[in-house]
Amino acid sequence: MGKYLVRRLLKSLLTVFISITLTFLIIRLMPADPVSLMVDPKLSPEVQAEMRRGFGLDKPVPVQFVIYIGNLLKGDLGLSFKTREPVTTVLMQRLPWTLLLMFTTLVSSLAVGIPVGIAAAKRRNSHFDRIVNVIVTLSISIFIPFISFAFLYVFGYLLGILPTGGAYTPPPGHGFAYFLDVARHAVLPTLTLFLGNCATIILYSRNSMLDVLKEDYIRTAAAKGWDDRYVTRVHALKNALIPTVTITGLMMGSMIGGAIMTETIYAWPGVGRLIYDSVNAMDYPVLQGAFLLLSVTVVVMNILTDLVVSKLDPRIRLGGGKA
Amino acid sequence: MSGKSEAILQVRGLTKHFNIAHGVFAKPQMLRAVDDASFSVNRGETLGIVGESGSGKSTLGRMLLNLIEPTSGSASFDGIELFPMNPSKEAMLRRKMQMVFQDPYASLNPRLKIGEAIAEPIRANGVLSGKKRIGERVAELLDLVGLPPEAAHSYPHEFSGGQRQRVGIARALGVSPEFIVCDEVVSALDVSIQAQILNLFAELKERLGLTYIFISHDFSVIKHVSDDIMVMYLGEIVEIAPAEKLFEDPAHPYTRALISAIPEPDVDVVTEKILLEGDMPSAVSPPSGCRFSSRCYMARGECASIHPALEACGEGHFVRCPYSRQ
Amino acid sequence: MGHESKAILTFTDYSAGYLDDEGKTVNLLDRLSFTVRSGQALGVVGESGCGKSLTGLSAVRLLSRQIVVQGGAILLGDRNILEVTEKQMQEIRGRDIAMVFQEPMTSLNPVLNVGFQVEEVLARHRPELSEAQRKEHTISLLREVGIPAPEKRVRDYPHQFSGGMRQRVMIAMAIACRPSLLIADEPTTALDVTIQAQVLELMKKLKSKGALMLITHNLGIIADVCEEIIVMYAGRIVEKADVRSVFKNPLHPYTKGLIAAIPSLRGKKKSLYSIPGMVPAARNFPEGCRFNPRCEQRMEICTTTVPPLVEIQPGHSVACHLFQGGAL
Repeated sequence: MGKYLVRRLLKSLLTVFISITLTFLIIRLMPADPVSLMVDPKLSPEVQAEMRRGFGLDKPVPVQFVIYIGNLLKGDLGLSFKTREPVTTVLMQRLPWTLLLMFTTLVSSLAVGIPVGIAAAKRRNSHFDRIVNVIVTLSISIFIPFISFAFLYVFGYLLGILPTGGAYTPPPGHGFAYFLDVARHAVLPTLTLFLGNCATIILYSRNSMLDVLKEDYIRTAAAKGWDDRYVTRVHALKNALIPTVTITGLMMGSMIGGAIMTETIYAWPGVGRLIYDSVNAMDYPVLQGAFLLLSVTVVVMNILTDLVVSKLDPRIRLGGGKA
Repeated sequence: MSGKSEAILQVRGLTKHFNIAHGVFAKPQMLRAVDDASFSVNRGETLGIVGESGSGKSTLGRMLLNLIEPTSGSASFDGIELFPMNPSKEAMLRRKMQMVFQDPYASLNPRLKIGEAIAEPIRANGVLSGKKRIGERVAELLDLVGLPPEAAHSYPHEFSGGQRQRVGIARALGVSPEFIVCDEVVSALDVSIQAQILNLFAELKERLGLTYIFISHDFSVIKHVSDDIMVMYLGEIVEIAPAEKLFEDPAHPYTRALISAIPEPDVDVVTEKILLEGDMPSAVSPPSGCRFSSRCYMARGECASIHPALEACGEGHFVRCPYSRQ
Repeated sequence: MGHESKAILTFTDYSAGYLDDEGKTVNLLDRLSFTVRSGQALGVVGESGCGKSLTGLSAVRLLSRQIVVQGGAILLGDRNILEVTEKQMQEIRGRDIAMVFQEPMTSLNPVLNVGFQVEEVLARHRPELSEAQRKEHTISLLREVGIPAPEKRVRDYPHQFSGGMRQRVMIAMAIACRPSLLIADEPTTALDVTIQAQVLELMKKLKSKGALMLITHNLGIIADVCEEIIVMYAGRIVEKADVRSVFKNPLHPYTKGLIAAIPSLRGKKKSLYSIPGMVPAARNFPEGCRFNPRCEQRMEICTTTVPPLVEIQPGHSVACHLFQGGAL
């Protein structure tokens, strides 16, 4: 187990490194010039050159890369072009909000998705199953900006019961009142993300449950005299969860950056919104930092998913036996 | 090996080891699927290869047709060295050596009509060209295997296992080969269909002067079709003998156990079953010395440390066990 | 033939079919009647499509939802299990009748350890046992079926066992509550011949403790293990007798054809007899005797009238018009 983990970590480091390199190159190769944004073109060329030097933009790209990596290892992700703050600070401000959204979405999606998926599988082709299928298809196809604006319009404007943006109503307070305030603000963004995620989980749970129910060992369990509910709970569930856990892990990894549209529309101060703003401002350091964060998160999520799956599936945990 | 005709296939020391280690950084782990196989097959005869799972018989069959590249060893067909293979040699050999596979449900492309499936090797090997000529050949082949000519326009799923197996045979015969490897060709079939297919194989052998290698785990089938039989265990040949001789006087303890284990459809026959202990050991780390020693009921002290060679013990009879006659 | 032995399971005119897409019922099993007796093994032999597996599953009512019972009774002792409730059936399964299936590779749950899967049966039917007693029982069961070092292996998972060992685990699960009937559906088909021999020896040993219904296509195994045999074709029993009579004096043309088709180990090579044609699909079962299109001794009456299963000699019944009217 230990050796497996070490090997995994080494491979992950390689993945992250490749990701950083690619990000770095892509951003640098973009045609726009960030200096022209923050530097008033009316300033003299000497001052402009000075600014370029200050940001290290005068050096050739490979040199910039080496400097970047060097700083990275020291924990220094550079300064934001826009706000001059350390990128690390900026990221750390935004990350908790995204994590919060991710957490609420995940918990709600799993809590609803898995039971519904399993119930649909057991009642295959019944009315319930058909209705679920329709809802799932619709939810997956929904265009996020459309549904977000629809929610905002209905709940925020028409009914006025939910706030229309942000994570809290400023100023940020403390204690329970603050908690409630954030919770109210989180409802719509979570709901928006929940639709697509929950639908995916229902789909996967249902399909893997259907596959499991066809397996021979389910028949064996029934032949021992157990009833349907026991067989589902003890024999089918664990096996059916394995693909579901895997897909959940992958979804979580992409959620950090993938909620860009949702965060932007709801003005939620998370990493997704940060990426959107930074692209507009051509804020290289922040973008690099954000993508680094995404890479690391995806990799970590993958490792965690594998660990959970190996806990569920002894064939992986103990090394594949005979086929 | 039965002396009458000359050898069409000679195999010397053919070996295949698979590296089954996972991951980029792992140490290689060798699965010794076939080790040092040496034998020959005479023209017009059938060599039966019998063994249980893990014996290496299928791997051996596939190496002879270059579907798997051997790790070492050599083989020659009709005087032509099979390895190393090159494209022009392969093209020529493909017209002489063909294979029929086990699973009639998996070995036919479900999207190809039967006629197309049979025509494919003919076209691919450039044996014939022109739609009309190929069409005639396909009809000829269908007739040869006992299927109606209309079958050419149907899809595999419209046929039963036995019929699909006939298609597999027709496909192999398209290029007019001299030599066919039959890998578990009747294992997936019911007994009465099995009989039909075995009869067909016998008839084709007579009519077309074919030479067969017949691979199976079913000893009764092997004995029925073969002139000589080769018994394999854990990647090694443990005994070779003419079919009748092997059955009447098996020399190797494994062969004896194998034969005694066969349930015969005859109430009068009461064989004392030789029951082997345990399971087949892993081919990744086979037992040292004689590979059968860990389960052999007549093993001596030396058996686990000395690796026996395949030695003659009678006319056309070879065995890999120095104590077989005691 | 052992009429003194108690009848454990009796099928009486049992018929079953499946509902096709148009709502029609297509017959699969037609008026099966036979008895499995205590201390004996009954072999159910036939090729694919004959309905032998379905017969086994009928005895434990584990048929798929599309299969409907069309008539008859299945008596376990003196209860007709076709009439008991599902809850009552769940009591019977695993305790009075147990099954061993064909595929040891897939019939065990890969994510639960082997000890748990055996203990389960005890937990279900013998609630009076404490957990410690169950564990002890499990270990001794594994030992009984010939698994070495059972105390260590209870915590292992199915994928850590070979095919033969897995099948032994299946058998351990089946005999855990000492059922009066063990139904084994092709238990050794997926196993190597030498392993098969081991498992069959085990089953023969267990025969004495109950009754065994062995479903297989392999006549050799039947000759080795069973005392009685029923030969099935297209959902009907065509011949029923003690094993010796069937092999020495097969009556039904299908039985004769089946025996002649097997390559024998002894005797010279000859062309194998092959029964012409193929087993029909259930939708296309012919009128009269279902074997008639393939029968070389077919008569006019065979195409119109179903031959009843009649006892021609003591203990030897056959369903064939060649033998009606007491002819031999």
